[in-house]
Formats: sequence, C-alpha cells, structure tokens
Amino acid sequence: VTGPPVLGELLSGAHRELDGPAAWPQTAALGRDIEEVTGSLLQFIIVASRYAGDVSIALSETSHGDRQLRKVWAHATTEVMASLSGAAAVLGSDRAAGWPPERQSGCGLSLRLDAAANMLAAGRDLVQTHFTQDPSGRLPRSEWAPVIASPVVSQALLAEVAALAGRAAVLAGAVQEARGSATAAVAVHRMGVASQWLARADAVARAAGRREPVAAANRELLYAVPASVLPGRHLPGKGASVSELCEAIIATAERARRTAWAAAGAGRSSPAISVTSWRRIATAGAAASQHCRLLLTAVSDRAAEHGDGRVSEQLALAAQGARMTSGVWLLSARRLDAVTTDVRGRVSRAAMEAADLALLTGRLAYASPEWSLASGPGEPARAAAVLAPEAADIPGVLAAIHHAADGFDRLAEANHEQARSAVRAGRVLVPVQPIGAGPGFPDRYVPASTERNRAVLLASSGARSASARTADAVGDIAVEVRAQSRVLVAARVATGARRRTRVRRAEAEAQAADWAVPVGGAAPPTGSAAAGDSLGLLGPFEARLRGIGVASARLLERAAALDRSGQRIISEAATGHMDRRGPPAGAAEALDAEQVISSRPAAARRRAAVERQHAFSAEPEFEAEL
Amino acid sequence: MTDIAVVRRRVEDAGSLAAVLDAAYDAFEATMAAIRGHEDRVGSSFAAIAFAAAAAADGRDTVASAPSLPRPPIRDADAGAEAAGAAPEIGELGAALADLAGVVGVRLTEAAAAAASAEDRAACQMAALQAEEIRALLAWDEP
Repeated sequence: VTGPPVLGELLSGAHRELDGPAAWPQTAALGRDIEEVTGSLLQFIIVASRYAGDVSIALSETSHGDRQLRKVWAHATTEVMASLSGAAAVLGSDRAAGWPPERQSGCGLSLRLDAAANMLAAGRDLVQTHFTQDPSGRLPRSEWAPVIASPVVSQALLAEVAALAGRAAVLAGAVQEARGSATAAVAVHRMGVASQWLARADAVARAAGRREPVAAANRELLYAVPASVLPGRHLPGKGASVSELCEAIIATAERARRTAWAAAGAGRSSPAISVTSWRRIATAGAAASQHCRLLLTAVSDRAAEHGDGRVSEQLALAAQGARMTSGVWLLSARRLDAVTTDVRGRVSRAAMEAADLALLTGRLAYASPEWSLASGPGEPARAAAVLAPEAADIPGVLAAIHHAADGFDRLAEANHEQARSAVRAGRVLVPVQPIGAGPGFPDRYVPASTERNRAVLLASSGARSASARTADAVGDIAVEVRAQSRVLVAARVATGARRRTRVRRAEAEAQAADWAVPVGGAAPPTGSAAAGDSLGLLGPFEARLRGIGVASARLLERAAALDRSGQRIISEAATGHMDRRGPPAGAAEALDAEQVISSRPAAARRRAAVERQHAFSAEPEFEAEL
Repeated sequence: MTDIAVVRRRVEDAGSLAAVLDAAYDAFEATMAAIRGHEDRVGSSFAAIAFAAAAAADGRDTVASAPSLPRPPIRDADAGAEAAGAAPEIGELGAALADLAGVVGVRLTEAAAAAASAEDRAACQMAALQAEEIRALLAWDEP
C-alpha cells in the first residue's frame, strides 16, 4: 500500500540538493551564471520566507505548549524572517517588478537551488492542504492541522528551513570563487552579502535550538506530515495476510481519525449528531477493544518467547487495559439504549469507519480467514506464532493495534463532544412514559432528565478516558519497540492531547537534533532588516503585526514603510560599499542564545480554530452544563 | 428464552398494524434485554452480539416513530424483558434471537405494504431492515 506523500520526502529532497559540494561550477559565461544563481537563490528565499511566515503565525496563534519554547522560537522566527528578507532585498531590491524572471537554468548550482526551492514549495503546498483560507486567517481542515500548528512542530519546521538556508548560504558563498570579472563584481558582492544573511538565519535558529532543542521525535513528526489525502476504503478479502490486514487497519484508522475530527466539530444543531452513530461507534469500540486485547496478549506471549520480558509485561498490561476499555465502551452502549436523539437512523461515516476497524481487528485477531462481525462463538484466536513469526514482526503488528486504539480514542472524543453538544441543545430524548402518553404529546419523546443526561455524558466521558489510556499504553510500547506508529505519540504530545507523566519516557527517547556545528558564514550587521515586498514578501515589521492579528491599514502601512526603509539601507550597503566585507567569519557561530533572545511583543492571544485542543480533562467537566 | 418465545408468538399473531408495531417494539426491547445480560461470555461472537443489540435499539426507536404505534402500549413493555434465570447457551440464544428478528422483519415488511400513512410505511420498512440486520448478525448456523 502506497501512502500519501509526506513532507519529509520533500524536505529530504531539498537537503539532498543543497548538501552537495559547494564548488563554483562555471558552465557558461560568468555573468550569465551569476544571474541564474541569483534568480534561483531568490526563489529559494521567497519560499523559505513563506514557511517562516507560517511559523510566525502559528506561534502567535497558540497559547499552549511550553511557554519558554514558544518565546525562544517566536523570537528566532522573527530574526529568521528578517534575515531572509535581508537576503532577498540584497538580491532583488533594485530589480524591476517581475524579478526573478522565468528562465532556463543551465548552471549546475542554479539547477540545484531551483530543485530545492521547488521541493520546498511543494512541501508548503502539501502542508497547506490541511488548512483552508478564511478572511481571518487559515482554518484547520484536518486532524493534522493542530499538529502542524503546534509549537513543537513549528519549531522543527523553522529549524529545517533555517538549516536549508544555511546550506544555501554555503552554496551562495561559493560564488566568491568566481571573482575576476569586473562586470560580475556587483553581482558577486550581492551574493556574498546574501550568503551572510542566510548564514545568519541558520545561526539564529541554531542558537534557539541550543536553548530549546528540537526533539528528534518532533522532527520525525514534522517529516511524517502527509498530504491531506485520505486513503481509500480498503477491506482485504478473506484469507488476507497479517501484513495486508495490518496495512488495512492503519489506513482505516487514518480514515477514522479524519472523520472523527470532523464529527467532533459538529455544531449543536447539526443533523450529523445521531444516537444511531453513537451506538454503532460504542459497539465497534467494545468489539475492537476486545480484539486488541487478544492481539496484545498474543504479541505479549511472542515477546516473552523471544526473551523480551519487559516488553511482554507491558503488552500484557496493555491487554488488560484494552479489556477494561471494552467494558467501558459496552457500558456506554447500554446507556445509549435508554435514550435517543431527535435525529435517528443515520449512520455517520465515523461510525462506518469504526465498524470497519472492528471488522479488521477481528479478522487479525481470529484464526479463521472468514471471520466477520457476524461470526458466531467458538472461533479460535490466531496463534501468536502466526501473528508475529519473528521478533522483528512485533513492531508491525503493534503499529496496527496502536493505530486502531488511537483511532478509537479520536472516535470516543468525537462521541463525547457530540454528546455534550446534544445535551446542551436538549437533543437527548427519552420515550414518553405510557402514563403521560396521549394526544397532548405531539411526539413520542421528551428531553431527557438531568440524571439521564448525566448518565450519558458519564458514559461517553468514561469511554473517552479509557480509550485514551489504552492508546497511551500501547503508544508507550510503540515508542519502546520503535514501531512505525510512534509518530502518533508525538502528535498527541504536540497538540496537548497527552499530558500524563508517562509520556516523558517517550520524549526521553528522542535525541536532540544536531545543533553542534553551525554552518560557516558571517552575520550581517544587526539592526533593521530589509523587506522584499517588491517580491511579494512581507517585511519583518509588517509580518509581525499581521502575525499578531493587527488588521489596521494604517499600522500595517507604517510597518511596511519601516520595512522599506530597512530595505533601502541594505541595498545601499550592498551597492554603495562594494569593498566592504561582512563581519568576520565566525561571527554567526558566536551568536549566543542570549543575544538572540530578547523581549518579544506579547503575542495576541487570538483564539484560533487551529488550537482546538483535544485534551482529556477531568471527567465531571460537564457538571456545569447540566 | 421463554420471553423471547412469548414475544415471537405475539409478533406472529398480531392482526393489525398497531398490534404489529406494538409487538415489534417489544421484540426489539426483548432482544436488547436478552443480549445485554450475556455479552460477557460470548467469545468470538461478541461483535455479532453487540452489534445486534445496537441494531435492536435502533429498531425500537424506529418503530417508536410510527404514528400508529399504540399509546399506551397494548401490554406492559417490561414484560418483554428477559427474566432472570438459567442463562441459555450462547448459540441457542443467538438462534432464538435470529429467529425472532426474522419473524419481526417479515411482519414489518407486510405491515409496510399495508400501511396507509407514509410515516408508518417508512418506519415499518426501516425497522424491517434493522430486524434483518439482527438476523444476519446472529444466524450463525446458516451457510
């Protein structure tokens, strides 16, 4: 099964293009080569700036996550934006509109920069598939959106972009080797100054990383961001192999997460809220949890046989948890027997995905290739040795279980959110009792009592908590055995959905990214940065104002004027002082976090839809609603 | 099991639309009650049993939306519940409930054809489908 493209493929591609040797491969007339490289570098900077702008907005919109991390990286983002803007201004500030022109590159360096810029642009397009544009900004349109906009993923993204800028700086610096032609002297000098700005962007991010490191798990999470394309519904036929079933479970869980995310956002009057779907999801949750119990028990046995007693014990505990979760789901289903909603008989997509998950986990758990939701008693479970013949097979099976558990966690969340909405709107109903029935009741139902509503909410809240516990328990083991699904753990942590202390172990697994060796290059003078607004880029002042939600045309124009002034200064510095070199090499490395971090304007706490958190909180949270 | 048999007979004997709806309502309730008491010992048929209970709850709600369902019911609704007693073997229970659902489905389909109002007809058709779902989930002996 081929999944959707992921951001990591494109970022890796950009790294590959830029990580090669930085020698100056003169292939054509010197002036033409430099012209080509200048245009290519500018394209790269434009795309990198857009990423930095996205990060700036994301960090200004959120108020969750580690405050110090947000502070450090928000400031770094501003500095990176300023540096990129400075580089853009040097390269293109006195060009006519339409620069850089469409061109056919022949120079190898230019081709590499073009390829990196194209991959970055494609990556940003991929990221944007998780958002929709609105006059108030970007709004989430998938369950990945809160992950992408989270502080830790924003941090990782900026670090990636800055590192690529650092590599581009090295390549741009190679142009210095091309000195010797008087006609190209100006262009060569511009390239050198741009290189220094780019190196500064990298150095700033590295300094921030030394203070608040990017965890390897979060870089991995960033790389795992997929295009917002749902896998098609895929139910393998009878007799499917274990690996085929595992792949189908993972794909179905992805579909379940997406539909659950959409279902959780249903408004209180939405016709999508239906007791029929709640019942089906609760029932599927009970069944799938039973199947996960069987699978975890089998994998536990297999781990023990392979001599991994610790993992075996963890798996056995998780199996017990899954059994309890099944019971809680069942209780929820029983509570729902006693009530109904004004909309009935509709089975949501989320409920259908839940049923598919129950079917697929059952088909994996039982030996019969023909097992189905309508199978009777007496079917033997699949033998552990068949499920995971080798120790190396355990992570694959565990990943499928983890995906299923995580999917039901999201479905439980959606059910609870819908139940809360329905209770608030008086849409949970009970049949009219026979004594009161008669012509005076136009309908056969009346709103449920407070007690009945409380019972429904307690049941859905219980299912949510139990499902989260199971997903977390399996997630811990997934991290331990390095199952492919461990990225789900990072995603839950990134969005604040997981706060319990056990997650620290998962985080402890993460290695800090390598910030040790800054890319060479010199930092340009500090101070006001340039803007590349003629290139469609926002300057740092304007970007900052927009980032914190300022919409005043007057203020934005003032900020843009400041940006333009800075741009002029940069341009003059680049063209008027040709023999002046940048700061001595090594200045960028000397940048310390303390220099980088300064007081940042308080970010507006604009309540963004992006920040819809799925944190599970204290169970009696709904008491006040009743 | 005794109550399932009693309800089955009522469904079979129902002579009017109101009587069919009333008996079907009780049949769905009886199915839920019978299942809910036995879910913890059903092994590999857990999914079938649990989904059948959900379908029974949906079927009951659907029947309840039919305008011709008598109010108050013709008989005490609680009488349709499974009485405490010796637990039937799971295969036996599944067969009894599948049989009941089959009869309910047939009678509701007949009632739908004869119903005068669109609301009654729609409710009967939908509830018949839900009864068929229960039957399909629990008819383990059928090929």
